[in-house]
Amino acid sequence: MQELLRVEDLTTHIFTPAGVVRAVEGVSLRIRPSEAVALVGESGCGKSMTALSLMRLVRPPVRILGGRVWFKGRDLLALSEAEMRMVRGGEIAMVFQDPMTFLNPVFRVGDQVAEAICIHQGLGRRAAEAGALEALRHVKIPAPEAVVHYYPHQLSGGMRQRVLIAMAVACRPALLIADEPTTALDVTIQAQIMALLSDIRRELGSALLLISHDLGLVAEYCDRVYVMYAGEIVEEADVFGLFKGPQHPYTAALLKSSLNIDHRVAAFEAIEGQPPNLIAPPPGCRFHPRCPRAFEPCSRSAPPVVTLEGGRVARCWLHEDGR
Amino acid sequence: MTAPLLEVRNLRVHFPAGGGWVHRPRGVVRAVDGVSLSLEEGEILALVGESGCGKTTLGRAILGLVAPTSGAILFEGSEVTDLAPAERRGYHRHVQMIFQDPFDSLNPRKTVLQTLAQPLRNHGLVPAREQRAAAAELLDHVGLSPGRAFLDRYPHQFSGGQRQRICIARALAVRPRIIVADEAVSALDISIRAQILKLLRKLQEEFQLSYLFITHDLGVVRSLCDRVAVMYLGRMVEEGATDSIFTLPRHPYTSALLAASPMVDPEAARRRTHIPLAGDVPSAMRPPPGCRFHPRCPIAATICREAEPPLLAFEGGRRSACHFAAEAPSWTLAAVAKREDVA
Amino acid sequence: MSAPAPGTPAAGWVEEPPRPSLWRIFALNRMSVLGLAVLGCLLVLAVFGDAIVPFDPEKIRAGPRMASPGAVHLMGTDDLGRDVFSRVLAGLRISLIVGLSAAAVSTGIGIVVGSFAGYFGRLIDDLLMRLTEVFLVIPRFFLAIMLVAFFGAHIVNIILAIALLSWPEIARIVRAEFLSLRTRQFVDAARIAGCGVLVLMFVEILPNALAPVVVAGTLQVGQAMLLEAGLSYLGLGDPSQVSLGIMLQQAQQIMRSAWWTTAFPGLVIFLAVLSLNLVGDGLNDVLSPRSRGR
Repeated sequence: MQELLRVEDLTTHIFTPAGVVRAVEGVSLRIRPSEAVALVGESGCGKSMTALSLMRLVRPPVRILGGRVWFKGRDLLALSEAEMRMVRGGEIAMVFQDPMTFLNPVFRVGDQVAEAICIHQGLGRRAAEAGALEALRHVKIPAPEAVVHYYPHQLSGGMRQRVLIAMAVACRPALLIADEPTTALDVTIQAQIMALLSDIRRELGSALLLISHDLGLVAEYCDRVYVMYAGEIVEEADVFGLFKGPQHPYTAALLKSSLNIDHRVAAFEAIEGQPPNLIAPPPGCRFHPRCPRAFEPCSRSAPPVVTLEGGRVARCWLHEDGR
Repeated sequence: MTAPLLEVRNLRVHFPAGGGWVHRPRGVVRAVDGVSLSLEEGEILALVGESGCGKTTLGRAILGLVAPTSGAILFEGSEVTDLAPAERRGYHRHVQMIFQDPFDSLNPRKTVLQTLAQPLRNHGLVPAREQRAAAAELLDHVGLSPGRAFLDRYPHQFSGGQRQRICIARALAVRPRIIVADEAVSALDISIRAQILKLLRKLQEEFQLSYLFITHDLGVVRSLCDRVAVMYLGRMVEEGATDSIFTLPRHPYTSALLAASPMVDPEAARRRTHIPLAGDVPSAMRPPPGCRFHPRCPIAATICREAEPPLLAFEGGRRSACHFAAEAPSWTLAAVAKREDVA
Repeated sequence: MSAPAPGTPAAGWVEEPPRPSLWRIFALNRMSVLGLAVLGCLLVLAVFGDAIVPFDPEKIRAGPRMASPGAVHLMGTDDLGRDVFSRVLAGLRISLIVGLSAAAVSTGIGIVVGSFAGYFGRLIDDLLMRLTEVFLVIPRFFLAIMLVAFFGAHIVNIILAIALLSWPEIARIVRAEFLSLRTRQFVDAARIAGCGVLVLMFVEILPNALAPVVVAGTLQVGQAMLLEAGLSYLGLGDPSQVSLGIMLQQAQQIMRSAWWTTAFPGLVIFLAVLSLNLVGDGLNDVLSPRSRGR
């Protein structure tokens, strides 16, 4: 099947005074047109760094060391900065966790949205302003005629996130990357924003890369899932298969640790220990020190990436014979 | 009938918004506006709501960290609302707190030993030369073992989950009866969150603790808590046993919260009916008239705009502040129908 | 697996990566290291000056009058035949004593005022901060002249006058730190652990507020030395002490014919103040949370 985005062997390290943090290590993933894909993992696993790397939004001390990011037949990592600027916010748009880092506090909301439209569609001022109004209406902001004159601080968190989405989707991107878009929001507002994202995606036919730590959001809104641990993708599967039968012990443990509203868990099952320090990750499988099913080869050498039935993938020694 | 372990009666906490000696306040924030609840011995009570609903302020008022505007707080039947500093210290021997942010709740300049020795010393529980051993034992209790290996470290040398364990050890030092946990696991990753919840449940059994568990996470509530109190904009809207509320919410806000909470099951998540609430939580400086939830409520009627619903009692000790609480199960369908009318 | 040895964390816990030492951060700023070196030399000279000076700084006709710098008199002699090198070392000691004491007193007052204002807020804050502003709006040098002229040019009075003019800066810094720190959860936690107000203020909050105070205090040492030199130059210095400012004042008349009588004391003041400022910059790098978080 045709792919919209294919990331191959992406490696990004952070060069800190304390040592080199191997934040993203050989990550490969692909996204088909109009597909919703999740990249899940706990904080510090490298999921956000992966998204920033493929958008080339990293600055020293963070450096992309290798890999390719194929998007519509072009390698984004090989583009010039000027070409990349047109891709960013044009064909690929991004929504962040904290809208305030993205919105300029001293400019009116309408002007900021118009500016984004101006840059990517080459429209005149008047047309861009009309476009901004339309974009705000599109994301169901009440009374957009008034809101265009507001400053970001006059909006609630949910409304700011809507403004950010309006800017992101104004140019009808083929891929929308949402990095923890609702983590800072209350659940009822989160539900509003996620519903809005699904509606817009359906309408524009855009693909979505949702970066999240919340398995619930992933279960509800995504088609396919990549699970990331300590800088590596450990499992890839369709959402139903993943939640029904996780193939990597880390995924299994995460699912067991998650709590659901529809039933009471009698005993909390926790993964002991904590994620490794990525300056000196454990040898072999990076999960082996916490893994309940670790056996002899796990601490010795890196596990194979095994493709299982249904196109699922797991990076684990347990599946060695399935290769 | 004996008095509950902790009781809050019609508590109000109002803050002036801005202002001081020179500037006049811009208004009054009604953070907690007439809330009553009780916590029984050995119980885990969840206090649930979205940001700005007053749950954290209520927790802080119970500890005496903010002064109530009116109302009363009773511990074992005696009033602890406005205590003198010495009496408050005695009260804190029984009621302790765990805070939300493990990176903010430990003094970065103090070692773990200094942090843990503080309550031991202030309450004169352990002679000075035994403090080290006592602190190490506390760390063992919270799963940081061997405790003595961690005593001389500073907070920055620990991860978030480990810091939260240290905070729990500090609260545990005085062997309290009640621990108020304010979003104690919200800042933690899933795998670490499960560790801490497991620990909290173990400690509850070990030390016969009662928890007031303040959270926005209904998944945690379902698995940890015996009873739930739901707050919205400074008021309590619903209260009752966890299982009973989760299967049949009697307030549309509770049912909207449940509908909005993500489910870790793709099939169930796609099956359920959505009632996304419109709009944002209004300002606690100008709460809406009538039922405070009516501007966002999918089933609001004329009466909701005019009269504030009383907290009515229902089966099994449940209470709900909705004019239509009795008609509970039929809501979801009515709400969906109404939404389709609008669309 | 055997039980972990005492002192090692249990299995499964991961060690934090080592953080760059404070000295390494300080050393990133070469100018600060230079400043520290110069300041160190000046301090050694000031403390052990008595042992190495060739002449008694007060001794008249220790050599010929107004001799230019040479092998015997390294920095020459003044119009009374006193050895300038010996006097510069003695003067440096007095100037440093004035600077350090004034900065210490000023920091002490500033911490107390700032802590109470920031911790209690509201009325106490308003009153203390208005008082602070009164001191800030009065021209400092003018008030210093008035105070010294009124109470007499004794070295203790000079120190107190300078301190009285410098504390508002510290008070404002401490207050700002307290305002943000008092809402931190660890303060509430200590309150619940049974700590009294003074413990909360000075044991819990103050140590976390000290970083910018240390920087500002370092800079104040230099400012106090300059202020003392200024006062002395106007004839308001303590006549019983040799300070660098007094040397400058006494050499006013012979500046043109004997440049060394003003150049060397001036150079030493310049070096001392400059090195203090450079060290202050370096401390700022070390102590600001931005660099610590890296």
